[in-house]
Amino acid sequence: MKTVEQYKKGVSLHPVTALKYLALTLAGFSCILPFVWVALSSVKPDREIYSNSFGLPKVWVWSNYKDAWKGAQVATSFLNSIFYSFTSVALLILVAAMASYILARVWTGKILYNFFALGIMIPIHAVIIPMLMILRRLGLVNTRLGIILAYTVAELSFSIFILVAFMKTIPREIEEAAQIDGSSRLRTFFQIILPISKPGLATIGTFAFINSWNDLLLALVITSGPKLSTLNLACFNLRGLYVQHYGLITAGLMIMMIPVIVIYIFFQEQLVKGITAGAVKS
Amino acid sequence: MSDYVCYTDKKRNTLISAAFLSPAMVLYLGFVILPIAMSIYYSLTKWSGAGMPEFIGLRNFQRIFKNKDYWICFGNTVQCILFSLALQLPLGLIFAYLLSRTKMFYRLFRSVYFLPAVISPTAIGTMFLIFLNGDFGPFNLMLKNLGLHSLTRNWLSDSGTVLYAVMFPMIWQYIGHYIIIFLAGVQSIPEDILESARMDGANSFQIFLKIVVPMLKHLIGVCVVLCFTGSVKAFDQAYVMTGGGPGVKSSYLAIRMYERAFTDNKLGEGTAIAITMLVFSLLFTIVFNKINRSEGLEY
Repeated sequence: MKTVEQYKKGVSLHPVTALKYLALTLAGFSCILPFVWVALSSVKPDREIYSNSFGLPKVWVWSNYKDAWKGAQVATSFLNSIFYSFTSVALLILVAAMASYILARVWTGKILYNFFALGIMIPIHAVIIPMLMILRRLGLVNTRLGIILAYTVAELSFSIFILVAFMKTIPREIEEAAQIDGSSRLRTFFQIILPISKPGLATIGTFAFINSWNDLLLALVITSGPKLSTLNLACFNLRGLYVQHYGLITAGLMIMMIPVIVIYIFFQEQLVKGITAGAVKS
Repeated sequence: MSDYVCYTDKKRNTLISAAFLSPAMVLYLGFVILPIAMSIYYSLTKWSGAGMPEFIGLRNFQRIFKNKDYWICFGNTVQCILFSLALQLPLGLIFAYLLSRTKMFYRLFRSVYFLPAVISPTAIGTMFLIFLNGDFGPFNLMLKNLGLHSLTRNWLSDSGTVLYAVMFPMIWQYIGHYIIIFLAGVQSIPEDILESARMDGANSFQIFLKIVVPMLKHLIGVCVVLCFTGSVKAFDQAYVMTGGGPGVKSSYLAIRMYERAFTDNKLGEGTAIAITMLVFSLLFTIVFNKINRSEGLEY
């Protein structure tokens, strides 16, 4: 059969193959062109966004970035978002890894594991009102710690789910050798288990970073006022503040999207692994 | 149980294990399990957030179910679920299949398809707020350039289109998510099955319908549940774009819950709405899994 041979040689002149590439390319453009439009508009003066909506900028104005950065607490919010995301990721990795180690190695019963995994099924919306009341009782509403704890908890079940599966694949012999050498469990955990688990930790870390970076609802509920604002809140205000100043809004959007795109470029594989594992095992 | 021979002091080990588990346990109990129990209690009370909740039995639920706005939000959420299922899953599966048959630019395509899914829904909502603006938005401009003047309208204030205008960005954003999941599924199908079908003269289209789809039945089921529970939670894009308005025309249950609880300070009623959402998701998941498992395909 000719087509099979063509497939094997990678000859792509077959009309079906051409059609496939056409479909793939069109879909690709539909995913990326909205972002390209935003990127181009962010360096255009407002009037050019209306008159020359789809073209390259005739005049490049970088001042949109400067003005967006200064306005609507974008600068503070940017630093806040960075701080919240990284701290909650660090806390999550520590807490989830410690628990997962015990669930994977010591108390390996199904009940305890299922108890934690149950949380994957519970959407944050269902618990957000009482969660806020508990935070209020603890004096953590409108504090950095409050929002960091909320981001950590939101990812906890999924992370334990992924990490337990990962840690079960680590050969026991490695730990046993360390124990024979007199290593305590604490040391075994920090010096052997954690380093070996890096790929699993990278997966949950990437997920947690993206989800906390992208969160709107928790920040909306837990924080108030500009001091603790996140980038999503700033962006939310931006669109009301600069109603028709599309140059400023798009520049603000770029400031918000670039960090996550950078993380995406570096940690794509971890994300893909996490999503696949999450779906296949549930 | 553990078969560690090297740890002699058993009591100490139990203590260490408990210490390792306890931070996660405390956070999980305190911020997930306890809130669920509290939710059930709050939903039976009248409470503005200040003072003590006043127990009123099932009256919140009666009030919710009697309210026409709740049912509009419910209907909007159901539409969001149906459109998500009808668009995200088939497109995800088709493009995963196409991509799995592709070597050139494979990684580039995959990265591009998944890109919208990692961007904040707030940013996506803001983007589409601009795109769909009636006066300056590029979407209307594009229609005009294509000579489709009659189709242009103010998408976000026209009560006939506003719901679909806030729904579309969400659906578009997460198609890539399903492409990634299905891609792993398609790649797990043994190559010789596909190869022998091809030898027998089956074309790509037949292979997709007769082999790929039936073999991924379980994974498709998982994605149906993911898509359903994800759509029940729909909030960000619509909230950013319209705040649910005009009226409740583009509001979902999650927006309704948020507004009742935090804008109108009716925390009891807000919690009751959250509980209906949770029950809705859990019921669907359980029923669907039962049906799906009972007619499960063996291979």
